[in-house]
Amino acid sequence: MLKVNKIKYNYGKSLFSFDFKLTNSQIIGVVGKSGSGKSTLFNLIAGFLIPKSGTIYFDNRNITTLKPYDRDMTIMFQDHNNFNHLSIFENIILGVDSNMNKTSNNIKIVEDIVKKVSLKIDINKKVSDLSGGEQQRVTIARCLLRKKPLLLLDEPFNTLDPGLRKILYEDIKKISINNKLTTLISSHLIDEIRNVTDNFLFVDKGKIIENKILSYRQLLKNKLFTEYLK
Amino acid sequence: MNFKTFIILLLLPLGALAKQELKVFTYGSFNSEWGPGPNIKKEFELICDCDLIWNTADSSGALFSRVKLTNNKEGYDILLGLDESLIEEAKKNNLFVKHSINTSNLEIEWNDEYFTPFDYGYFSFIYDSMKLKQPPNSFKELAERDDLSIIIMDPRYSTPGLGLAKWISQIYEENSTNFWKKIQDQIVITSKSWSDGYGLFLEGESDLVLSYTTSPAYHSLIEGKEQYKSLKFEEGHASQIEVMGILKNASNLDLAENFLNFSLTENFQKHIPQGNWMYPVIDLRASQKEFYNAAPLPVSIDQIFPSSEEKNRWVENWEKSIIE
Amino acid sequence: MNKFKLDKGAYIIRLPYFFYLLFIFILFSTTLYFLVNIDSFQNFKISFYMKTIKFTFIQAFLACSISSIIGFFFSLVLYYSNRDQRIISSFLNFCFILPVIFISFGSIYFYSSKGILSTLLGWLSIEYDMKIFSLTGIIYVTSYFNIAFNANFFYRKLINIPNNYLRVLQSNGVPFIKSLRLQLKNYIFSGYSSVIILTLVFCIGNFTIVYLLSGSPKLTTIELAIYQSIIFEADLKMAILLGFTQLIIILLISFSIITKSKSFYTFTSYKNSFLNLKKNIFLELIFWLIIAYFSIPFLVLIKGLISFNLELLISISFLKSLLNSLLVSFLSIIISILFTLSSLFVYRYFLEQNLFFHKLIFLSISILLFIPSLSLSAMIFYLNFQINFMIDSLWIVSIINSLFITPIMFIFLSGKFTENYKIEFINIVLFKVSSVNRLIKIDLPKIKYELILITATLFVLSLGDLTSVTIFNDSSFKTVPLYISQLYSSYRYDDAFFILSIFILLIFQIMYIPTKLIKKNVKS
Repeated sequence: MLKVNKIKYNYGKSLFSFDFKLTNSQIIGVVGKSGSGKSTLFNLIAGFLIPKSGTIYFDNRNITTLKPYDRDMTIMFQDHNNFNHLSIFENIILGVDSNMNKTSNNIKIVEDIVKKVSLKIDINKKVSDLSGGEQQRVTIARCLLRKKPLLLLDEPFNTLDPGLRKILYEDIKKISINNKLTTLISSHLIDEIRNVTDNFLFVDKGKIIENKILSYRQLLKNKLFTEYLK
Repeated sequence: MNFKTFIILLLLPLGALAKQELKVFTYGSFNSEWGPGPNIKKEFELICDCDLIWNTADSSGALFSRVKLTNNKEGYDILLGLDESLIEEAKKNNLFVKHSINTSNLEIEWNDEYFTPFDYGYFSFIYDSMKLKQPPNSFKELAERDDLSIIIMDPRYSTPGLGLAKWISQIYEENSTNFWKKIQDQIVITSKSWSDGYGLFLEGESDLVLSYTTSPAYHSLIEGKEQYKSLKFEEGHASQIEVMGILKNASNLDLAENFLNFSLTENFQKHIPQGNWMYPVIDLRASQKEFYNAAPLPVSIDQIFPSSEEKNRWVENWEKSIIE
Repeated sequence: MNKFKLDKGAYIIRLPYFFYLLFIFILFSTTLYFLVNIDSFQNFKISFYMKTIKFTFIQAFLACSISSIIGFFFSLVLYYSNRDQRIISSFLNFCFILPVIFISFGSIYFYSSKGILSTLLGWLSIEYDMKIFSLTGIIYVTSYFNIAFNANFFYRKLINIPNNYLRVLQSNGVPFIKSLRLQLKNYIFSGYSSVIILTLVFCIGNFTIVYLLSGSPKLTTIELAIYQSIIFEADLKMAILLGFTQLIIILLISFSIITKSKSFYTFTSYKNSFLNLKKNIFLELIFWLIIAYFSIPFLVLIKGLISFNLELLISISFLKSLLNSLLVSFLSIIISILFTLSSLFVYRYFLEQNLFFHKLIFLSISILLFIPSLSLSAMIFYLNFQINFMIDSLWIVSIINSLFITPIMFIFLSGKFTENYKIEFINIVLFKVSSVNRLIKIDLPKIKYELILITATLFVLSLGDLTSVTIFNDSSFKTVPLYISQLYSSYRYDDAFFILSIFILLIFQIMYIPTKLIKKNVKS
């Protein structure tokens, strides 16, 4: 269970405060205007930012001040997830072996995981040789390899075209369910996320509306949300 | 004024419109504020009805080479500041004209049809007697004293540097290179010019510096500091004679001869002891008592006028010692 | 696309570049002629020649590697110190363009036998035995500039690492320092080859430092040997031969590095890169030690301002040299701007026409960076001698300075000048904008800030230059750096330090102008 307990964070002049909890093994769409605080929320959960006050629990463990790599999560961003000057192999194996040693064992691990995310490529190629969709699949592969129960996707596919986005969201859904992951996806394109899940956190001006998960229908009753849809 | 004439005006050296001019090319310290240059200019202009213009090069070593390099196309009348070791080479290059000055009644024996002497001095090493309590008495002792650090000048580029090479060659002859090797570890700085090296000595970079026996006189008469003394070597001290000559394409030969004549009179010579800190070439013992007291004449070795080959050999003796 | 017809204005704009080419051509051909016709060397000593070359490269490689390593280390500490990036980067930049003569004298004042350090140690009764007039001294001062240069390069790289790179690494548990060795190595070192070439060129060509600090004929670099051949030995042949040797060796090194590298260093803008850091006392200490290291030469300002000497300040000789310095810098900047704009225009024309020539134009300008300034001076001295010294020293020094400023200005401005050239070109053709109009109304406003910045920087560089003026000076023509070095050589240390301080204060003032100008422009 992820429990975000009354955390406060100063962002410039405005104060963000989040307070909600989630049960495990579900997919949650985090929606809201840009600048509303979606990324800040993700960075707080991931540990790149430390809240001014409040606590974050994951599976009853206080992770508020832990280093990002000590938390049971992996994260994926809109861009710069991969090191363009490194090979696909190196970018993926980095998740479990930061020395990136090219042992036969490591190669096998990468080859297996690459199949899982439906990539059919030579793993010795540079990441910069891949298309945008393939690059994000490499990232997903690395995230999977980490085998962490919490997966944070921060506007993961926004730079890709709609058809590809649909396919990737389907993949994510499959992977999440198969691996029993708790997955948070942030996006401002709510319709696409509706294909994946009907659990939403709506962020507005640094707050979660009603401090809990709402369905799309419940959200529609909220004035702020209908304004956002316009 | 159109643009073209403006450019031409910028290109023209200024002052081309003044009265008769005598352009004397010399080393920087001769015409510095504390050097004899400014006073000599005043004295000469009183009698010549002309403008004496000093042009300077950084050091005496650069003087002759500049004139040689440019074939004196820069149009100097007199070159002041060569020393006797460069005379032969200067004559070879055919850059000077003969003079008709009588040099028979001078302090030093002089007989050269191209150049006239204007001062002379003896090389020595200067030390601070407050810091160095037991100064060496000979070259031999100098080489044995590993505790002493020395600043010398580069024999290729500086006349005192060449003077030291001459001095060592005169004393050690074919063993010169060996002697140079012996003192090589003690030499901490080989400076490009005398003033560079002397300044660094005063800043405490070494115990000894190559200079002239007259240097202590400057410290005692101008600064009132008595601690600077010159070494007195049993082997005797080599000397240097500084000379001037009229350049071939001098624009006014008469005026140049006048200046050479003037340089051997008291009005020129009296500025030498406490201006250029060298001995004057005419007898001024009566009027310059304090100077001679502060800088007594040392034991001298023979004065020689080397050929270019001889001069090159002196430098080579030194070069061999640093190439290894 | 149709060939774009050139209007009359275009030819006028191209004129300075062709003058420049002509000039370079004359220079090279006379030099070649000169070299081919050398029948004998009077005083050619092969051992000295080899020794000089050997020493030049030993000291350059030493200084170069020391500066790279220390520069990298400094950049890490500065990055970790988490301070205002603009200030740190400007500070490093500022240290890099300070006049060489200032840092040299500043270091002498601090490290010499009667210097500050020796006095301090004397109080603690520790014996002080470092000799600043030695190889150590030369390398110390040479490294000062190149450490600043290298540190700035790495620092800019570090602060420009994409935030997400660091987040990905952090979430995968890779410590930052380790990632520098593994994941980020290629990122940080991309473009480093051009920096290392420049560092090497600076180290090889550091005439002023060796001129001031070489305490032995063993410590002679090619540049110094060129100076000595001209000034003391009246041997132009040797000077030109030495210059040629240096040019060829630098070109060989550069090509071997360039052909292996893929990307070049470009000036990047600032981004806030993300680093989760706690203050660490140890790091803070090192940070302030680095600042102290860069500030050491500034102590000479205290000494200089204490020895205030009004008489010297208003003396004709000083004012004349100040005027000459300003005039030389002004003329060189004007000439350089003409050359640069003209060649940029030609350069872009070939880019637009998709012709290979643009690379040649880039090369024709940047080759000047590799020619030792003193051998260039020797060549020009020879040319001037052939025409009976018709050209005044002031003009010669300005021209030589401008030849060294032009490539820097060209490289700095080329990126901005050719930005979006394809779209611009379509509009230019569409709306029939004349070349002159394009230059004045479109290009100049576009590169305005960059031009102001680089002009001020190069003005300062040229003001502090002490190379060609050591050959082309006479009683009536001196620049301030030469004036200072002559004061110093005649053991007037107090006066030399005083004039140096005044000179540096003037330079601060000049460097302050562009920031003010840019601010004003931004406001309006």
